[in-house]
Amino acid sequence: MALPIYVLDTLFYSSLLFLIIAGLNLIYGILRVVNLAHASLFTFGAYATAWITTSLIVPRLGENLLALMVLPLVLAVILVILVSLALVTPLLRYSQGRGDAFQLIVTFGLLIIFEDLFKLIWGPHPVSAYNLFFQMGFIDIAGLRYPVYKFYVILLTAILALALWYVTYRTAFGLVLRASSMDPHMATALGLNTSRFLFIVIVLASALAGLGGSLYIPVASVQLGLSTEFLVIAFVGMVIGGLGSFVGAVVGSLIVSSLRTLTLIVFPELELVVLYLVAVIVLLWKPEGIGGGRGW
Amino acid sequence: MAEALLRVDGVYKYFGGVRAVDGVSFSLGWGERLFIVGPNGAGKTTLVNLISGYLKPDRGRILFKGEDVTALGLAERVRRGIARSFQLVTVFDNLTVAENIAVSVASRLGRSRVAYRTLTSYRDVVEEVERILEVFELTDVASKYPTELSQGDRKILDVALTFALKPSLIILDEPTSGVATKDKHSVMERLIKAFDVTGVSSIIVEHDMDIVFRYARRVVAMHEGRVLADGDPASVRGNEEVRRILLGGVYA
Amino acid sequence: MVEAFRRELGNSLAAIAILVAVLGVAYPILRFIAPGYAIYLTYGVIWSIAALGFNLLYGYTGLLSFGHATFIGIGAYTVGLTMKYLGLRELEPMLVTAMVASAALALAVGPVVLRYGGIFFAIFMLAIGQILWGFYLKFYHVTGGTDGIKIGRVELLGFDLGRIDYLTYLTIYHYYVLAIAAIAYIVMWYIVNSPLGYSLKAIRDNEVRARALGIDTLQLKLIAFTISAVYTGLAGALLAPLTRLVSPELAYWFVSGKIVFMTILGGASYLIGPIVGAIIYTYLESIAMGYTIYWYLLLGILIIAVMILSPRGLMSLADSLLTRARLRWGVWQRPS
Repeated sequence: MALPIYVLDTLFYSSLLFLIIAGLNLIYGILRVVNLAHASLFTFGAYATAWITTSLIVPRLGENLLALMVLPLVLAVILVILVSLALVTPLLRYSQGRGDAFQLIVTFGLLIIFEDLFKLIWGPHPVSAYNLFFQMGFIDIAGLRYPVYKFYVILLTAILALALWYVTYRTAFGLVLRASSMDPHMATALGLNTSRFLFIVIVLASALAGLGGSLYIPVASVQLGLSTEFLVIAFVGMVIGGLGSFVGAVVGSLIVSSLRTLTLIVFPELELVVLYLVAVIVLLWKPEGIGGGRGW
Repeated sequence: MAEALLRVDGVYKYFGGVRAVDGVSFSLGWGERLFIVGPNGAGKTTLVNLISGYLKPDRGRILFKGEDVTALGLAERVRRGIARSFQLVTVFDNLTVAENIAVSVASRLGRSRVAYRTLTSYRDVVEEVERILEVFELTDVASKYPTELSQGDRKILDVALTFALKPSLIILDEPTSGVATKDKHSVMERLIKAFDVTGVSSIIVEHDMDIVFRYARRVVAMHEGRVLADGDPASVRGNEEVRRILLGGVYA
Repeated sequence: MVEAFRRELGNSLAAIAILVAVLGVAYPILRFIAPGYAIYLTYGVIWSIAALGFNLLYGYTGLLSFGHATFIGIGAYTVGLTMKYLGLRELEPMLVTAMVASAALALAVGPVVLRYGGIFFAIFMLAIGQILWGFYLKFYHVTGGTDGIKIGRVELLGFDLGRIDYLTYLTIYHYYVLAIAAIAYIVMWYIVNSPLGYSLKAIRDNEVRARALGIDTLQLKLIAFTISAVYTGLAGALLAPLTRLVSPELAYWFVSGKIVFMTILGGASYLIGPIVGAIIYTYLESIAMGYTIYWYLLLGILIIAVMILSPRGLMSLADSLLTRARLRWGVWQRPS
């Protein structure tokens, strides 16, 4: 594979991973929970986007580029937020302070509930919607045709990451975010409405995951089991980057996806093994992760 | 005097610019009991951390049973007979009092890994648990869980766990903190009785002067990382500096 | 004095004997009144071995593994691969191999995954499970991929059972499994009541303090992890002749969750909790699957409900009922 393509594919995949890991890290930073159902929101976003694209947009508006770019994304993220408010948010808030085991088991319950909800709503077969991908077309890179859509995703995520960086380091909200991820009691100490703060964090994290799924679907298909696949890879990224931190999410997603893109070329059977070994090495060498240790 | 059990020899520990322990020397004989007193920030906890191996000194030596243990880690010092308990009570809340002590006894006897025999089938373990319960007056609450105990009994159980390791030196950091005022004396009395019965040496960091001067035979008074006075309670109490800094005239 | 070592409800050899007797007697009764459901009793007994192993880690040591399907897979594929490639039919050497393989894997990964505990352990186990699951799928020229490996009839204790009718074979297999389970239960009783068992509980309650008492906590956790793997691997191997097909599905992440749920359903703080939970779960699943294809959905709701309403499981309900009965009639002395 040509180097530019490798770099672009890595950036594309790390954009998707970043959107998941950032949410996982936000929730971990503030609630000290690893939400096993988090990647399910990504999957939900993917399903919802496919469904909105193929059943709502295309039949009514045709293959309109602008409509395909905006509407499925916005509607899917709204849907994901609603689902998160109904199922994820109350459970995460309830399980706060009840110990690791409680949180893991309860969010595992959510994970399998989601699996069946997907089956119930969208059936057991893979679902896809490549419309936007093809509408955007291709350009020549190093003599190869490369999809414009992947550029779009990389650019969009980069802008989003910058916005997140700005919020984190330049706003009052970001200050509270960083403070309370270093010390969970900080939000209360700062005289903040803790429950509203948690609420905002969970909704933000859910929206990021849903957005990731929505951006993923135009290049691939979504099927049952996708959530755990992404969950495990995202967790490896969390560990490598550092649990609960913004920088960790950036570093983790970049390292994981460059490794993954490489192993997929060289020896696809060992993809997870390589990722896992790297995570273990990082853990032994720097237990707080490469970009972590300083809170969100 | 024969070889001292513990010798602290010109020990320094700085944290940044703060001299937490600033050249402390003293020695402790076998079976001796020593109280360390001083205002907050005097360096008492740092000193006991240095002795028990949680911290390493910047300068100076610590000798235990005649051997230099300065470079040794926590686990190795525990093996050689230095044990300590903390201000906060840490016991195993889902094990009964007897089971708590049995875990410690089994560890000392090197049996923590045995899986093919029940714990209660070891006569020596059970007998030693019984003896420790008796020494610390915990027999009546042996089958209770720590959460059902009074604050004082929890504290004593905590010390009993450490004691079950049969250390030569036991270090207690403020054993009566968190205990209701009316129980402080009885807690200290039971601890000291247990130590006297078995002849273990002890270093006790204590805030409560009332307790110190009632139970001490030797007191080391610290201030700003240095030893102000070292001697029997009467002479320490008589020390001018100690009076000014520590006692505020109350015990004059 | 020994009374001060309190044992929870069902933590006695007598209770285990009663449990095994019930599981033995129930089989012919079920065959008579509900023939289709008898086989699930065998499944339940096999899962109980897995859950018992899982719980040495979870209930006793405080380590939650979301990847015990790993060892189910190791056990099942040991049987599948040895039958397919070595033509072996005697089950016993395969069981031993499965246990050795599980122990070897546990000893290989344990020192790393156990070091960080908590969430790391839970999800690293999930990841290891996913890796092996991926292997079973991807190396299809060895493992048969999704199609798996078909398992013929096995020889038990040197007896060739190839010619007897299938129902008799199943009955023999039930008692064979039950005998092994009885041994596994008794061994586990010794383990949890041994110095090791108590030391593990101490680690669960406060690892730092346990270390301060001179306990090598990492080593003890590794021992518990290995025993746990051996139990679950054994269960995986025993499953194969019953499912008659070894496929990646046996090692899927969902199976790990299943083992977690069996344990909390029965009660993780009771020795026999996982056994009770495994039997009840197996019937719940088999009955529910008859009515709906959305078993995950139901199970997810059930998991959350149990965790919120009765986190200590069914055994704790039985325990409090017995305590209340004892208070009322004052005669019930719990055997210890």
